[in-house]
Amino acid sequence: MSVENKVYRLRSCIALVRRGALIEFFDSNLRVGFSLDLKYSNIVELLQQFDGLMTVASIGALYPEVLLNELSDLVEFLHSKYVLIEIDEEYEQSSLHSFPRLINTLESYFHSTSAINNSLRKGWSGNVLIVGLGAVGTWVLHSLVKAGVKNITVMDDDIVEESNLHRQDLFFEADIGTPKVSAAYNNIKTSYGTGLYTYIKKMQSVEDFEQLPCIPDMIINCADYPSVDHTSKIVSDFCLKNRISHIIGGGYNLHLTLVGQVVIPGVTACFHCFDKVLTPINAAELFGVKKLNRKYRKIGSLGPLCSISASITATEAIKLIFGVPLEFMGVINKRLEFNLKDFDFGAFSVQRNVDCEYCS
Amino acid sequence: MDAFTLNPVLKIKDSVDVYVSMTETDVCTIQFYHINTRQKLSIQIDPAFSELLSVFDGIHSLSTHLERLDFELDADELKSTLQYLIDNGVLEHPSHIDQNSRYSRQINFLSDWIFGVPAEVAHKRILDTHCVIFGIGAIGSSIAISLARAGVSKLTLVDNKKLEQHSSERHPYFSKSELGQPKVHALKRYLLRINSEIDVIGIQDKLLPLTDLSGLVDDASLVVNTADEPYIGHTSAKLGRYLWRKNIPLYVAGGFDAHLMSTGDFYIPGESNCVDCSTNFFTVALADWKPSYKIHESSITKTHVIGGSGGLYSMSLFSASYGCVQLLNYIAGGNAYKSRLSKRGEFMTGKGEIEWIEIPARDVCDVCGK
Repeated sequence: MSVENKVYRLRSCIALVRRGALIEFFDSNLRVGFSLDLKYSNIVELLQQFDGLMTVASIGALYPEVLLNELSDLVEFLHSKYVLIEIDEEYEQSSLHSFPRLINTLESYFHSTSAINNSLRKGWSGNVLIVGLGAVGTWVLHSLVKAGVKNITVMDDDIVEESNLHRQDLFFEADIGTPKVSAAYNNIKTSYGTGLYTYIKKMQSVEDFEQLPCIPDMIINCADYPSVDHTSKIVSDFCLKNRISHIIGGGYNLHLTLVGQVVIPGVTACFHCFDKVLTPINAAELFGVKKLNRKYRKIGSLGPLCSISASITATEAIKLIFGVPLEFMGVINKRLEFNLKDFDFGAFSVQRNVDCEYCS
Repeated sequence: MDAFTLNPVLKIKDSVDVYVSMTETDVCTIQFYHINTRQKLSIQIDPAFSELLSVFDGIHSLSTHLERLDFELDADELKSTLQYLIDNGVLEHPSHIDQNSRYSRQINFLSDWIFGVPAEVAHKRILDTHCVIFGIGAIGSSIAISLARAGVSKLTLVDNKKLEQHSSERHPYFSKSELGQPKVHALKRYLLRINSEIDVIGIQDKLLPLTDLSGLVDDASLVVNTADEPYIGHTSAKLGRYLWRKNIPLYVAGGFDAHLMSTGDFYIPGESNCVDCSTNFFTVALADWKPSYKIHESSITKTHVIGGSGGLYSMSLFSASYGCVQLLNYIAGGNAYKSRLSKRGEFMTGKGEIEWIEIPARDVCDVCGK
């Protein structure tokens, strides 16, 4: 179908700002924009005709002074820049009723309503495994549930303790003493009516994944026992072998301020690509250095610091599971570190090693 | 300081990693690394000292260790080195916190984050806080929950709305069974499940230009504003002027529409600029910014605009969490929150970084001085 016969909608979150000869287009959800030199004085009014009902040709007919082929070129360009979205399908009424903000969020990432419907189907039916329900896993889990993701498996073997309540979502005083996966299941079922697949298990090796009912589409590692390097390596081994996207979580013991990287096997830098860069750096810092070992050591934690890390991990996870194009991901080929002294993030970037023996 | 004449019992803080390397035959470098805050400190010293450090267990006294190790260290140098390490948060006199108690992990964290006061004192300041929150939508409620989990023992919640189906997208306390219930009651029930001893006052009302603030906020140690109707600038201006005179800090949270992952603005009388200075700054900065939006109303819900404001729980959680880290640092007596006063950041989800703008105070302002 030619552009003239298609129907578009000017997205409501796009601010149109006239500045002299320039028109600025600003997506107020993503806070990104660009300007075009458009001298036609009625351009804002014309663009506002794109109501999702009229075709380009019928809008063009209202402005006889504008050449239809020029209008079509402009429409194609603004469509490619996510200002106009093509209306080629209706949204489900129930989706609009329960997930209006999710749909509006996704509209910044896709070019048509049919692509968004596909994205919703993909995300809502996607299989996600969260390993570890602690100070990061619980917030990530809750975020996915609230975005309507239904097939979530949680793996953890801890019970809820009183000392968890200051930093973990979804657990309450009444849950103390019960397995974390059961408490999370019950509280989500009560609030949202949706279930979870629960798996009482401490992840110790790749074999632990083989008992899963199906291979997940995405794994989020939020486990730090005995160390996050240990758990990340297991998750990474399994995911690279099975080509599963995964996220190395942060915010865990000994590394509260980290936001770990999103890994898409064969596309973005993997655990080993990072390791190859990080090992010499760590080795140089520690050359000839002996770490003093101490028994009976207890580690501190701060709830909202963990949930800063979790909030970014969850946002990345949601983009990934809903099939948002990679150009919109924020934590690929890098990991972030929140600096508690100046309250800002630093980034450590690593490009994919094309010769990586694990992910290539 | 004569803790030393008393033969102290010392231990290396749990939150500090210690690395030792030999620099020369008679000198070693000891590096202390605060794992929670990722700050480093290093000293160069006689290798015998590292042996002494490694046996500090928080149980035996200094003299016991010195006898056992059987070596000679210059007493004055030892004393000043130990004092230096205590002052820099590396060594501590062991506390008797029950490590399984509810806030033990947070107290451990505070010992690393807040210098100059014992961690128990810093934690007590959190417990003793009364926070008043205007607006308990996605952001306000996430802040209330985070503060309640951190131990804040008194919260006043002001909001006049009820929970609807679409609240399930971002309100953490949403539950099917609470549909149609006033938000203040639903959130109160949720907070009491977190901590049954907390004092929660729910006020089902809306902040209006004529609202009398005196009964609401005079008793507050801190006020959080997330009320974005009719417009967050208006509610903040009213609160800001009143609270400045009362010397009560105001935190205007980020995370609202068009600023889905922003950091908040912290107005602290005598420390930051005031709300009026901010408002003036944006009025001038945005003088040329006259946006038009095309509003496509949904037939489904009155409040929903198709293609309009987005947002996810994880995004509002970012703004709320960022705010709570700032608030807890301030409440507990830290200094780090000062680095972001009079600045606003927007987390760019596609870049993984915060973009900052400075919001300077006016040269002349009849609210915040000058």
